Amino acid sequence: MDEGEQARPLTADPAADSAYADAHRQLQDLRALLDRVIVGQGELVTLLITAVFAGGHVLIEGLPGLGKTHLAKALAAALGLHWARVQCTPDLMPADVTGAEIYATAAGGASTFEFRPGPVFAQLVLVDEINRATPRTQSALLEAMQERQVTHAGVSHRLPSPFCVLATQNPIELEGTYPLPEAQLDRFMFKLTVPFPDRGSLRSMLDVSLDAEPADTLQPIAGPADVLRIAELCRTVLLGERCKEAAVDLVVATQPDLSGSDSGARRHIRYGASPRALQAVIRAARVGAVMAGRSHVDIDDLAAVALPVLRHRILLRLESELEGLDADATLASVIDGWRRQF
Amino acid sequence: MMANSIISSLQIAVRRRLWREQFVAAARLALWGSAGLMLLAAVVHLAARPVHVDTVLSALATLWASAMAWAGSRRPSESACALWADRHLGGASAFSTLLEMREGKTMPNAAAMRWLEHWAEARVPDGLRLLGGIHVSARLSRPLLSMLVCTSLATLVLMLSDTAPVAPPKVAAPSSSSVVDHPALDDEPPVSKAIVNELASALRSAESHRASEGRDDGRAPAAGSGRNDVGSEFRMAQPQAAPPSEGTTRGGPLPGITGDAAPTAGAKQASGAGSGRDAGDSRDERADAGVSRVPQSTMQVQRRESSGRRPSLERQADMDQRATFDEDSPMHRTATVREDPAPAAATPPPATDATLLTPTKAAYVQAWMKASRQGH
Repeated sequence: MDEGEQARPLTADPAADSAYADAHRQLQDLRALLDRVIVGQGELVTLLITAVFAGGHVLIEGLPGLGKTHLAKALAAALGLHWARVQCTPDLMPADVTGAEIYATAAGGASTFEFRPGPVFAQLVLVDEINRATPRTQSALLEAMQERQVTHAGVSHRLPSPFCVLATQNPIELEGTYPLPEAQLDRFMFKLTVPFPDRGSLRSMLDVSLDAEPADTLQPIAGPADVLRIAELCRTVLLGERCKEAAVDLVVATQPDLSGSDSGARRHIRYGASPRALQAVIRAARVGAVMAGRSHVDIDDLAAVALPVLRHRILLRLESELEGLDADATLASVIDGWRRQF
Repeated sequence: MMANSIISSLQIAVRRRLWREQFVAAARLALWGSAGLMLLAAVVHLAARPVHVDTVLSALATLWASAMAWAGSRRPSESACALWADRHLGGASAFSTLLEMREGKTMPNAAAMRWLEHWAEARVPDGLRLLGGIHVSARLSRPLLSMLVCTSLATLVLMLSDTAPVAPPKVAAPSSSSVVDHPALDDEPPVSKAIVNELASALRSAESHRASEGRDDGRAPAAGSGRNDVGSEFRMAQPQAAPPSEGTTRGGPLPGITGDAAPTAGAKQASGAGSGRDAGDSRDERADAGVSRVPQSTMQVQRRESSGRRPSLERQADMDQRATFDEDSPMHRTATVREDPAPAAATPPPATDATLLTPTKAAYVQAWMKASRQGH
């Protein structure tokens, strides 16, 4: 190095050399713990941890009985987070989620309106069957997700940190539901699908959760401070030019009208991913790099999170949907073509 | 500094490998180019003009020198080495990111940089081991084989051409026809020569075909005698004709008519005088009246010969050149027959050619006549 490089100041908040090692170890421990509780859903657990530490929200889609609620409870318990659950129904009001002002009388006899926070003021919010809530309630919730604050009667109330929303929806029984509009889907960092566990996992499930609820007895291995620290550390992960180009190319590949788009995207995709998807990919890839014990992002980190980031951010053409194509199949070919370039 | 030296060792090893791959690629390209050059030299040597071996060798030397210079000038850059190490040695973008962060203008996080250096340094031993285990696929066998084959081919072509140079196409000398022996043909325009060549080749093929037929049915000797007779008969009717060349015994062809063309008219005489299929059924009065001095054996053979080919002879009849009977002709014919040696069985006598003019042959004769007139 020359003198100029020697004198070059580093970042204002240098982390300790062991910070990445500690974060890596804690994330590995967390994943191992959840893998023991949530049997046969290793990838789902990894992506869920990634979303939490990347500061994103997750939309989980799966059939009933696959452990979505169980997973949220286990994650909150393992991280020592305050969590709340909202069971969405058509008559659920926004105030039931965000909170409401109530008329309260103090001990001295003075009566005032005071804000009583709703369940959204938890660090980990499980919104069950979010598509059963009315659009008005969904909007109130999604505003809280994006702004991380709730405004009531002209007063803004900050949501706790860390803050993560795990929303679930059922892909069947769509009568009486209100599908989330694309603008609201874009607020979620990931859309995860819960696959049916294989035979071995089903067999192991009997040994783990037949007589007891493991999430109830789970001891936290980290706290909210650890979550914030690791999330802050993830923002310092180095991102090379090659990875930046790759991330941009990934998003561009989903655009049907751009020159660098994939041929499959031009044929099947009506609307591609948004710039918010690009940010989500990078943030999630950084957490993935720390989970892998690195302080730099690799192309594989981008590829690992590409599908859950993009699958709910594209709209297929009607013809393609009639042909039986879905977003996953279309994106799989797009991601394959993108991955071959790097 | 320690980490830098370790990482630099991997970078040097990667650069050496990439540079070697550049040379291998250049050699592969040069091999293909050499093969193509050899083929090109052979084709040019055969088609256009002779190619000297020195020229080919100098072109090969230039090609190889260019290829090697190209490979030598393409020294792999540090970023290329880092990228290759990331892709093939499990670098996971560490080496390229480290290089960028060192050379970049953005201020990276110090802890992240240190962790990255440690991480990259830890990957170097595995990277070197992987680098040693990766087999270099030169893929030189196919271009080398192609170059050897093409070189062998080109060498063969060049050597054969040196020992037996390609002669310009020459008109083959006819065996029995006097067409190409015409002294005036050398001065004729190329078009006339080409027509004459066609005529000669067609006549030779027709002769050989007819000779094989004559040998098959055993009528060649008889036909030969008859041909001489009718030929002399025709020539007696053309007293101004020059003496014929080989194939005619006496008299001369008409101006512009060779000895092969003369029997065409004489065939009419032979046909009308004593031949034809009718000879066996009806009485030939002309034979009785004017050819009484001809030996009987000859006339009988001639009749048999002519009887089988009467239709073609009738088609060749030229009413404009009607032959006249000469009193001396029987004597000449007799003398001619006696003077001529008996034709060999393998070479049909010219008389057969005269009596067996086909329409194709007649067309050639007419074409030749036209060409001769143009030449005169």
